[in-house]
Amino acid sequence: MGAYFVRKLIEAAAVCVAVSIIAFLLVQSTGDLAVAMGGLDASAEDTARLREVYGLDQSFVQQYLSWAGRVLHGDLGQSYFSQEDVLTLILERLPVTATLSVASLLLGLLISIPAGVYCAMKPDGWFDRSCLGLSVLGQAMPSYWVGLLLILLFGVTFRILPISGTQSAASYVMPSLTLAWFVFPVFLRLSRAGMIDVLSSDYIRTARAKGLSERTVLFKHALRNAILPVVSVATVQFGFLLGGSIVVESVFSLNGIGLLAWSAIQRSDYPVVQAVVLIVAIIFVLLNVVSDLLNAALDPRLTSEQ
Amino acid sequence: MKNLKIFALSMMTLAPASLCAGQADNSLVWGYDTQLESMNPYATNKGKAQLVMRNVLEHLLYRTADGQAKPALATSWTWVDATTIDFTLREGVTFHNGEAFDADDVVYTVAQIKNPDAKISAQGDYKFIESVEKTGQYSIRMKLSKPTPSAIDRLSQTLFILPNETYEAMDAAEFGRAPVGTGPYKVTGFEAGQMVEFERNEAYYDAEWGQPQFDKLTVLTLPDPQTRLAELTSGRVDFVWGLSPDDMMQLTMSPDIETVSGDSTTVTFLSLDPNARTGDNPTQDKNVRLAMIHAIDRAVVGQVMQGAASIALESSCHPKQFGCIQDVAGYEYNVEKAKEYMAASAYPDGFEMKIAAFTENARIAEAVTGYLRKIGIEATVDQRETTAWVKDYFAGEIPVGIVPWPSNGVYDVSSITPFFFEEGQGDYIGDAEINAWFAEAGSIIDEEERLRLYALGFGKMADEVLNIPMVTKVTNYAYRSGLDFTPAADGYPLIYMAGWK
Repeated sequence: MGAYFVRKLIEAAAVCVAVSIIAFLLVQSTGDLAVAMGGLDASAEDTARLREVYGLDQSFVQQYLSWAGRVLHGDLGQSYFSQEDVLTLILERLPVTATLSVASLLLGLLISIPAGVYCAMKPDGWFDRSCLGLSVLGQAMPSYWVGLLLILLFGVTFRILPISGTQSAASYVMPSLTLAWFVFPVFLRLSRAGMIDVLSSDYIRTARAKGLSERTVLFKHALRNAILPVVSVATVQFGFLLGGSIVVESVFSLNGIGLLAWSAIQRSDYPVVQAVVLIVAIIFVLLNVVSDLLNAALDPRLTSEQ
Repeated sequence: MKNLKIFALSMMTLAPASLCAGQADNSLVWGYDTQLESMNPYATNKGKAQLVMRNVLEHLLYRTADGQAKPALATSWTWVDATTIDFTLREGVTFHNGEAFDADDVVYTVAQIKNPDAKISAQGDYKFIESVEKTGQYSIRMKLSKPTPSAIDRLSQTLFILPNETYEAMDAAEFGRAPVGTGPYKVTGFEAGQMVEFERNEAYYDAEWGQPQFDKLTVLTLPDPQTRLAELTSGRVDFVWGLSPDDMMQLTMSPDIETVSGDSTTVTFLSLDPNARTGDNPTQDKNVRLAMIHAIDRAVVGQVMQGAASIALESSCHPKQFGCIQDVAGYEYNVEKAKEYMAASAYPDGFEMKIAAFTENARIAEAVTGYLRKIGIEATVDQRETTAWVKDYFAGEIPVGIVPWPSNGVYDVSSITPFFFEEGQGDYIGDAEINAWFAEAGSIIDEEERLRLYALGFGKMADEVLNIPMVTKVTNYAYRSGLDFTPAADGYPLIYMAGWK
């Protein structure tokens, strides 16, 4: 188990380095920081001066190594625009994105797991078909549109929820619903399929034959096994939510790291982009490691097979 | 999708508005589309970000809603010669923290900007200033790097005066979080990327334009346009701008919201490559250029994309700018004529063309592609991220592109010609005569001669169809009824001049 843990950590570190190189490459190839800073009307000399002042005239490798060296010493650099410490910028915004992601994930799980269990109890019934229809809708409707519909309904027509900002807990309700709507289909299908599979297994038949109540069979014996893949996927989904909430943060004007990354990408402010990508990648990779370790703990064959 | 948007907007505008909190407590909330990461004006090159900072920090001059430069921190000025201006500064002005304003602050500010190692965005905006020297506690002499007829106008848009002692004691980031200026409002709260809160500067001097009216002012960042409209109709926000004609049409249905369209100095043109800067290409053929300009209904593009107030251009500059000669060869929208020119060109069977554009200009590019396809040019939009577009355009790698140019709000064509028609990075025309005319016109003071030279340059550009002037940009505003607001002629509204009726 120890060797397995170490191997997973090494893999995780390699993934983070690869992600940071790719992100660095993408930011450099799609924009030009000196041009972004100088503006449209900067002359060639102005742009050249900015390149020199910010060390952008160095080669890609030099710039990356310089950045990576500072990161290894805990210095994520400064935003080229606000001159603010990047770590400060991220730490200021991370709670917003984390709150949104956790709330969305919990909401998605709380709705989809009971629904999935009920669907599995009566497959092809009206409830099952309705839920499957909803999950198709959930996958088909863009978050942007769902967000606007919620704003229209709860923010403009009924005026019971704030439309934007993070001034209160209520501010997170609509954004969380929007993201939960996005994760709902995945969890619903997983929990439904898992329960259908488990409910047809021999040990459930045995449990029922022993005269256990249906509630005990469902929630004590069946759900415990059926939910394992959901838990595993939920950790990965949490990573997706952390890094993929840009649209929702923009629609609801939540000052999270998604919005920070978006504005930084637009300006080619690569210290900020790099830091956001790196931190989200680390969180994402660590969540995967935790997921792998949990699975390994639950099923020790995994460690010996790999 | 557009129908859905219109439906959604209709629902929003039909919903009853809440009590206007802004008018009740004499405050105003501005739903803003740009994220403000810093309140240091020298940390950004964005005109929209600097617009918010004008509430706090001031220039030597300000511009009235109808475009006149008037005294702000400078009370008067005198041209000594073509490159020297003497300014008399306002006495008795203090910064928000009590530091007294005088000539040292102006000298210090210019020294900061001119420092080659300074991490200042848009340093090029100040290239026209050579130096500033103190000639008295409340007087300075400004030396220009060359004769700059538009210097006074530029100084109403640039050069935020910093408090020398305060700025020296802070770093740029610290000043960006808690800026100190002489302006009509003081910053009381700043959440980077989210909001700025201001309160009225009770010690504000007796300014020519008047006194700030709101007790409190909040600039709330709302990046999504639909969210801005929702916040306006729900009552949390009092003022929004930068609306599309669709949005404006829908908002007219709401009884407690007023809409108004204002002008700007931004123009759009379709850049071609007649001089083969990018290599051989069809736009070298004058017949192709003539076909293209006849094929595009520029008036309709302007009205649909910008609004009824948009003007179809004959020259690539704003008619309000000094030297913008629009009385040049004009080309009507005439598809048959365009087809004739195509038939007479070296490309009678048409060709493929990519039109590079960024941000909302891609919509104009889309419209242009539709027109060009009618005459056999298989045009497609090459939409890019802004800095990628700028980098490639200035590197001479974009044969056809939509160029939007705000001129930094300056009412003089010398704020556009050096970048595109005078051997600048954006010069795809490469005409020695035009370069010489424009360069001379931008460096002399004699207005008559300047006009003559600009007429020659824009005249030749039109005769040869060296690019395709498109339309002016319209700035659309919507706000709660009861607000006394006059749109700015340059598209940069000074909200501190507004108030509740």
